[in-house]
Amino acid sequence: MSQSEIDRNGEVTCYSSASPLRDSKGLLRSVWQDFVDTRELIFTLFTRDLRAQFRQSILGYIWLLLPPVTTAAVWLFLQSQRILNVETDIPYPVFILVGTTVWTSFVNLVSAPLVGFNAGKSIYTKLNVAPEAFVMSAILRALLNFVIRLVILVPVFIVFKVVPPSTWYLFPVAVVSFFAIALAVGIWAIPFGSLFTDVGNFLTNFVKIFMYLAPVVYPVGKKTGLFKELMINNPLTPGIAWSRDVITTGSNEWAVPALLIGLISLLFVLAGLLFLRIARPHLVARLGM
Amino acid sequence: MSNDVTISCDNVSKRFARDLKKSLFYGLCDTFSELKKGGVKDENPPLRDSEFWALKNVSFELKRGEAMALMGANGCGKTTMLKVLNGLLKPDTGRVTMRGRVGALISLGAGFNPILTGRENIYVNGSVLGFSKRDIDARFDEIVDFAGISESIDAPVRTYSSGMQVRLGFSVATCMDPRILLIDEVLAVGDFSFRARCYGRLASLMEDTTILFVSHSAQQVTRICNKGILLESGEPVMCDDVAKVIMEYNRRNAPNSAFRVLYDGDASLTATEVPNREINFGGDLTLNLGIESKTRYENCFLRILIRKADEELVGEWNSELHDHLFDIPVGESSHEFTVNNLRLHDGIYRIAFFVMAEDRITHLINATNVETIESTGLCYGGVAVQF
Repeated sequence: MSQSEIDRNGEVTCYSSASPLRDSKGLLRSVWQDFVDTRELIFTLFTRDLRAQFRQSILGYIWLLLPPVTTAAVWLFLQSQRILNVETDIPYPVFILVGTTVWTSFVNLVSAPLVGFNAGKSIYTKLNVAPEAFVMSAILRALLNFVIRLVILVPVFIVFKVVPPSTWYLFPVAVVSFFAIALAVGIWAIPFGSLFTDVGNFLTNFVKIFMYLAPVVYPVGKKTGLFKELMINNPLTPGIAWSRDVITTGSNEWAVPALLIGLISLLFVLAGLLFLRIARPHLVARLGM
Repeated sequence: MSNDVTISCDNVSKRFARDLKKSLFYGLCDTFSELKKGGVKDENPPLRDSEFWALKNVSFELKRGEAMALMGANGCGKTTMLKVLNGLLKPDTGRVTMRGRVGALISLGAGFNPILTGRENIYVNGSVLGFSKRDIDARFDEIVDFAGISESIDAPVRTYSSGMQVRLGFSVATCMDPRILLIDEVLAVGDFSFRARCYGRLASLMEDTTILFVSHSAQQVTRICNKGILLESGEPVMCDDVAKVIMEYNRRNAPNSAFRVLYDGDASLTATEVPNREINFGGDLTLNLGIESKTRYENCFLRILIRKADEELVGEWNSELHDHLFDIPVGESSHEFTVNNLRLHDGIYRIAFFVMAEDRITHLINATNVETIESTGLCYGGVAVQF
């Protein structure tokens, strides 16, 4: 008998000390059922946070655009003062804005699941609500923020006369395979990060460092050396490079490693969701009130 | 019929750790122990360092239409029990079976976002409780009406008073008809007219619903429940008719009846004695007082206050009304008072008394929580004083 087994018609629910893995099919079914049952809740939470987010602000959604724009402005300034000497195949402002847009959203997606999980704590420690709903709504919000940031790219492309090549339709695929890495890290962070705040602190402070080891604000250099080796072997490099290439240069040079890493990450996402489901009652027990 | 059993709780135990770091670590251990081959686990897991049993071997069954009070002192495991029944916590031993949709009157207004309007929050709260948008659409007006906040429904919830927020929460939580209702000390909210409506709503649900009610208030409990279970340090000590459980709860948790004299001036109390503390229904209560005074007082009278163990005042006896006025001479004197025909429901009561001077204003002696008495012989009926 599984830990929680629901007969839909009679609505009989059992809770026992047995491990849910004794009935792995039942576990998969109940994870799926949770998503079906909570889809409306996910949407309600998502719209609730969206409405509440900027209701007390004057600039409103402009706050979503400010972080990538300011990051890009700083790097443009450094470039114009010739402190940096970066050569790119496309106008540097376009290069850097695409890079920071994708990167900012990546960083947000890494922390979104844990942030969402913690935000729902006061509710799912008291009521029978699937905590995954809070995680999913936080992820949806991060994705929406990404889409809004993309809008700013349109005028930039026009100003710098960059015409997206025929590979542009691959952009969603490239972005999903890149973001899958963020989700895999973010979802596996929940069971550990909700118990020990070290995990959250690590994510907010150290994921940023990877920006310098990936082609976010400068391309993979031509000079060989340790730095180039690190950059090429960074699992984040293919995803971000391919995402940018498909809407600017049209190169598919990074497609295969990006897809491969994305696929592996998706498997980790699924395993992470199963693990979270098993850990759920133990997390709730330890999170207390 | 076994089909009518809606809640069955079989030998349920749950352990918690007092130490935070250990508790978090055990959380990880428990998670990984689920992954062990086949998930076979110890049927009787031992307590680890700094752990204690928050619940130990709790078993009971409830049928449709039954309402059980979950009673016990603070920290005895009542909320833990509710969380196990609601599926939030996984029992360490035993199993729980719930038949039918479970509704919870716990943490009313969960999910309210203070900056959003009442209208928006009804949907959020309902969604958290597992109701679909269509369900809420259909009952929206009913919810607002019951909460009585139709004028401020489009104002942000943070402009609501706390009473209004709780009313809205109660209204949403009870708008659907659950088969099982878990209630955690939420009825003590709102003004009394709203409270009366809450009881009305619960009464209308009661026939088809199984209710599990956590409360410290004997009055609320007797109003709703017909059964009771008493927990002490996580262990069930009694599961019986609600009146008996309340009595046992009061007996176990009665405050020490320390002799406490609030005020005495020229006259002071030298002795109090209740020769017979166990009084049969309709019997007499005798109180003997020893008084030492520096001044002579004439035409004094005595007021006896009778309280239940939970401090609720249930009655007063005034010697003046029984033509029993007395004088206090200078020096030592002793006085006897008898309250006839004490018609108290079974339970523990405490008495306090004042000796009043002729002017009816001056308290010569003011003693509180002086004696504990126990009334016996009438175990049905829920109200303290029976005529």
